[in-house]
Amino acid sequence: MADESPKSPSTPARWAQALDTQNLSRSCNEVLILSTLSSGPHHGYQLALEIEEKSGGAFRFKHGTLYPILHKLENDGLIRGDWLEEEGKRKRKRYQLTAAGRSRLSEQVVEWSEFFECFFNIVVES
Amino acid sequence: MKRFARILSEAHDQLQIPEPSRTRVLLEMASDLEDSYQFHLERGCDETEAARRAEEAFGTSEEALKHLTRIHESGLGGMQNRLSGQIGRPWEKILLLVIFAFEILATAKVVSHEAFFMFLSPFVWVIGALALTAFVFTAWKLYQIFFGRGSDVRQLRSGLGALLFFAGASLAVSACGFLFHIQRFFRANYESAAESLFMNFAGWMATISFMMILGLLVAMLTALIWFVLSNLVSRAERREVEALLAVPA
Repeated sequence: MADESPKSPSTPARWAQALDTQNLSRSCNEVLILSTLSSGPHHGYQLALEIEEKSGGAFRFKHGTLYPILHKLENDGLIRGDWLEEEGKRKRKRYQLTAAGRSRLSEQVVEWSEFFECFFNIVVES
Repeated sequence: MKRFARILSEAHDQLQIPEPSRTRVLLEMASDLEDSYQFHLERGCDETEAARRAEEAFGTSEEALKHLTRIHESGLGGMQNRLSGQIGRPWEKILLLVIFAFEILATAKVVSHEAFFMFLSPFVWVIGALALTAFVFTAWKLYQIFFGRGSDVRQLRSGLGALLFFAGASLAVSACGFLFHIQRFFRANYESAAESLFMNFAGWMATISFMMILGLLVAMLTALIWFVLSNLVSRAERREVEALLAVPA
């Protein structure tokens, strides 16, 4: 018999809560940024460019819209921004994933997989 | 970066967040705009076209700026930013100077009192160590602000919050010392005669009053230094953003 205790919500309920399904695009942007940063530190502009190039233009950020997402992630301690001067040139802010961010990314990957599984179940059935 | 003065000025006007957060966000935007501009130059665009494309790709929406405002308005950082607002008027500077002078004189008077070392609490050494660390840190920050010409203005603010920690720690040590001495006093005098109890009580009062006054003064002084340094750093940040937003000749 399935565990129906309120302490262990069913999987869809769990990812629905975690992914904030009312704001899917925001959740999506967050996981895109976290996963791009998992390959190493990036500047804000590099992030937008890399996501756009890797997705073949499907995910195109207006660079200005990146800041609220980046600053929120930074405030939440998921990424860290440092101002660095490279090779005697101008200073730029570079973001990198924190341990908490890495852990959140792992959770989000699982949650997004479950989300799409559930989504395609409905779409394919119909 | 002055080629983007117009777009940055617009963002500056729309960003309703306290300094220094606003300056930091603008500097970040300026840096990314420049990256984008360089990218388009490398792809063969001329300067005008590269700047146009960079501005087009930038596209800060009003909604995004409002979201940024919400992020920077909340939390302890936002409160610190508001507290460390700008001191600009002459009477504000004079008032600050008077408070500062009063603090220094009061601390000097307490420490130079002949009874201070007679009734010295061991907790005073901890408060002294906190004060010394705070002042060394202050000296280092002042050096960075006034003489570190090559240093990054964004790095100046880093660690300033430690001064508030020292202030809080000084108060906490005083409070702990107070409780410790109460406990020690009652333990030592539980069975004492009334006359010796009075003498011991006077000594105890001297010990804790010196310790607590010193703890309070160090806390106030450290918090005041934090306030002054925050203002100096804010001024340096404003100068940088003003230079950034200046329309090119």
